[in-house]
Amino acid sequence: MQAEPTDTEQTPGISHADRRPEHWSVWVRLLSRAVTLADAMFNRFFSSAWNPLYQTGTIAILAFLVTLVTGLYLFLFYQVDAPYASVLRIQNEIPLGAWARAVHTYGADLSIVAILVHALKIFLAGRAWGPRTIAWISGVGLLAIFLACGWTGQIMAWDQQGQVVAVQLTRMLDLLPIFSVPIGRTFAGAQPVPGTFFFMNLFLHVCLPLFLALLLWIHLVRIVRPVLLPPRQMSAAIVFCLGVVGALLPLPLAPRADLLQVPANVPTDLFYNFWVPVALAVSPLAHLGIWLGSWLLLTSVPWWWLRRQPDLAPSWVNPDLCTGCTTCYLDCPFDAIQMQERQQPGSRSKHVAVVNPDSCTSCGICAGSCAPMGVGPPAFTGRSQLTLIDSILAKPQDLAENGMVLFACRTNSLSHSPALSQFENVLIITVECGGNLHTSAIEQVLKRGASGVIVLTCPSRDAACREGPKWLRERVYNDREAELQARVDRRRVRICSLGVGEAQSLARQIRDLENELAQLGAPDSRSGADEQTDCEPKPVIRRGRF
Amino acid sequence: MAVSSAGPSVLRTALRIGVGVSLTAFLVWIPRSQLGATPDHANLRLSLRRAGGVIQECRTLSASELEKLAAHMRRPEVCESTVVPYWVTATSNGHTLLRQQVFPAGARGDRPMVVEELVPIPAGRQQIRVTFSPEGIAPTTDVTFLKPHALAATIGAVPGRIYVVFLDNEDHDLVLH
Repeated sequence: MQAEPTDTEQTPGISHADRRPEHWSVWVRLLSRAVTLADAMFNRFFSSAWNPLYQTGTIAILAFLVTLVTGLYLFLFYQVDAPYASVLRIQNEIPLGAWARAVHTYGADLSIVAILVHALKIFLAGRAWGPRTIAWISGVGLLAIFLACGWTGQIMAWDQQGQVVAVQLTRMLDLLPIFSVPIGRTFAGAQPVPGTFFFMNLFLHVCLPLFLALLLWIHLVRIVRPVLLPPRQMSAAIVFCLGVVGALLPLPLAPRADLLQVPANVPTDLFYNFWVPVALAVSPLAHLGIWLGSWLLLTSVPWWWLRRQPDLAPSWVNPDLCTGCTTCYLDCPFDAIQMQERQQPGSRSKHVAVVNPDSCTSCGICAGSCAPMGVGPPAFTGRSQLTLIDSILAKPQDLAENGMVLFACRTNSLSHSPALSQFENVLIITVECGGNLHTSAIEQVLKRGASGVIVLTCPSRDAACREGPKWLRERVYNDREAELQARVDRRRVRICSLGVGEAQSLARQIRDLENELAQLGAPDSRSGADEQTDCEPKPVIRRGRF
Repeated sequence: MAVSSAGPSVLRTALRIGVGVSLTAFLVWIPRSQLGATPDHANLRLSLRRAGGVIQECRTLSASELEKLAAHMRRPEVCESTVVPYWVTATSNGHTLLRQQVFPAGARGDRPMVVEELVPIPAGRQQIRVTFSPEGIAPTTDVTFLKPHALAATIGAVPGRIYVVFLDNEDHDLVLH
């Protein structure tokens, strides 16, 4: 059983976002700004719901599936004893061969781009520590296998691009004390490259995706209800685009590999072969050192990059308040809460929730899920929110005439948007996450005189705390446990899931709500919210994919 | 550029298509990048592999020496191995392109010695000479298996071309390919 944390362990209202080190180097700041600008651009053009930068992980999987399907088709016609000739035949004679090869390549390229952007965003958001460590390390492994798949695929064609990749890779690999005879001798040119080499290469190209599946499982093992694919419309659009581009711009095949000729002006896929210019410029030893150093640096990110700060404590369950309803256990996006049988007989429930602090990211979603407010990071529980509201809205004049309250997720930069300054009647209260907000807090501000409430959350697919926006909507609109009470007029509550660059949308939503509230008139009560101390008898949702 | 968020518009649709096309163009253009400039010189690749040069010198132990050893270690003859390094040299028109000492691989030096080197040579007519020979051997040593190799040839070196020198498996002579 955990010890009850003291109030001094955590500063109320301080979040992950506020804890980023002040000594961030310039390049990280620039990178972070570039990603934010890209996010804003996509949000403005496509809206946050369709921003592909919020879907990079799932786009990588989708593109990989496209590559897998086209690869199976190409595999039917590939011959290890005549690699180049068979690829040439695929390109020129096999029905849909050139198209399948182009889509295969473009899909693989899209996978790599999506993986790199995904990793960059996770890195900049500081989401690689604690329970996410295993996801980060397996992600680095996935990147390595994707690259290896690409290289073996290029070697399969045995054109000049494949030749460059094979020669440069073997120069580096021969430095490792794992081969009794340097494998680079295979490409000396004195004799033809043996068919066994192409067989082994094909074997690797086909088997590596099996490791991908295994690593993907490890990548997602600590995440509850992982989403594997983008929304259907986006998936269809991506597949359609790949198909059209593959038809309009088939990929040319470079000249046949000639080991007695230095390749020149070779068409090279820099998504996979970004390292080749470096390999050509430095010694194999330096090249190997760069690779090993880079992988070491990447893999060790969870240990040297942003980590949990000492004053951001994990969640804690008050066993006296826990009713054993299992909602926090179900809602936790990182599987950090388990239900255990109570030791003391005669308790109010058979089971009690227990937080595993090693798995907890302090997102506070459990706080929003607990009707009796008995769980959450010490400063982010429902009770803390009510206390905060009481202190902010202690007197009626604390709120402007027809004033509204905007609960803003702290990681959402829109809460600092200049667009909000035009609304003098809007009081902004920041919370750790939309899912962290307890519905009693919404009721509380309405009873304290707010004419309406807007909750600003991150876009669902870019939520720092994963499922926060989803659970908030369920609690407010679909009576999920810890629901917004029926006595609260839902016409006065609005949830906006918006991202950077969507300030105008937020302003429009506030204006719309203002107009609607003007028609509704003033709220009827100024008393505090009734504290709910009992759960529904059964959970309203079961664990699984939604 | 400020884009109104109020509903779909022609401008917004055009921008969406524009962004989509730009991303697709990026995806298509990168795999077509050109790499490697047209070379102005040829290359000589030395691809040599042969059994290592290990010389064993054996002697018979005296009775007193045997007496000092444990019973299970008493062998009448002991041998000491010496690894013989090779030197590989390559010259073109008398200019040294490469001079390198080569040791047999393996912790005990009992694995084959391997040379894999790519050295540039100027284009045009070149007199190539390659030697691959053991380092000084004592006159009393039986070194018939430590055969020196040499090759001399004249080539018209074409830019970008790679000329391979390797050891023929049957005759154990250097061959230019």
